[in-house]
Amino acid sequence: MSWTTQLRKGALELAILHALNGNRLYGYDIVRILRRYSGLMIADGTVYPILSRLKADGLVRTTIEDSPDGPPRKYYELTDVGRASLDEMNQAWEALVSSVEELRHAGHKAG
Amino acid sequence: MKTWTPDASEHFEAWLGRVRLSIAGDPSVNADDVAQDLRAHVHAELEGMPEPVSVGALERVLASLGNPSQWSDVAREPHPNTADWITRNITDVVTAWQQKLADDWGLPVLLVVLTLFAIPTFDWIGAPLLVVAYFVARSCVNYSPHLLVGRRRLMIYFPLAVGAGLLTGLVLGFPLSFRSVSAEGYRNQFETLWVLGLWWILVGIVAAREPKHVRTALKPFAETFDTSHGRMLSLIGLAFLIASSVVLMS
Repeated sequence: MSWTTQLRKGALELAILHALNGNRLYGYDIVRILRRYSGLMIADGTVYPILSRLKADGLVRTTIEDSPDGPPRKYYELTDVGRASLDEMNQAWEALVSSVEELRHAGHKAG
Repeated sequence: MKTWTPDASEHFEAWLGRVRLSIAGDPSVNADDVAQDLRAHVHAELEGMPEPVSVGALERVLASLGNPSQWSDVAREPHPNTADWITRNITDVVTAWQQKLADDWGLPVLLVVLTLFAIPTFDWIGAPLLVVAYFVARSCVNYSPHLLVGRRRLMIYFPLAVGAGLLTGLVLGFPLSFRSVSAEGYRNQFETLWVLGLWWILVGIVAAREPKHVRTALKPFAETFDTSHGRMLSLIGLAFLIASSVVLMS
């Protein structure tokens, strides 16, 4: 797995949790939100296996609702565990970005 | 809900089947969950498109979803140890092989040829071939529902029908392997019927207690099998037992 794929994988998971923070959305809604931010998704379909894993990990819960326009829709929302994980992931993300930025600038100065 | 052309419906089911294959090797992902989301996604994307939905319109939506094999790369964890790495790679090879054959008539034709070859050579060569054909066909029924359309379904069901028939025959006729039905006179045939009746009573009791195992063993031909069918088999066995006892005692 390439470095960018690895990076995107973690970032996409975090982005999905952010999209769901305070919202109850079905899969297509999440995709539409993420489409607004370039570089997060290689393809729309990548979101769905991640949603399935987040559900298996207990970070999100789902409810199925009938739709007048098509098949039933599965709505996702964060669980308490998901909200706590999001806080932890945000802290880790900020620490990571700040460290890399710091190192990048230090490297630039040294060069 | 929008109407689709039959071609578009079949194309979508085939694509969903390939998605299932692609993510089948990833235990952290539930293929049914993903398929359900994808159905809702595709229908939502097709809103506003003219009816009936054509293969071309569907293809554009599927293209935006991307190649399912890339999704599992995104969803999968890195390989934690050698055993997992080997398992994952074997799964990948089998999946790729099945996917390749599933795109056309390759797999159904191969299964029919294997089974047809296995029947007349049913001994050291035919039996293993039939077992292979049977289990590949079973895996198609479980993991490649998009193949189960029209004649392809009949071709995939063929080894399953042969296998289920053999299994049923072997289980129900098990006592016959110890007794000769053909000759040795009139009395011997009723003794055989007596043993067969007793055996069917026992098999019927087990089948009535565990109908789920019967359905699994004979899938997809015994989907409606339940306790009452097991009891019916026991009753038939009882009828054989009583009738043969009457004859033998007279």
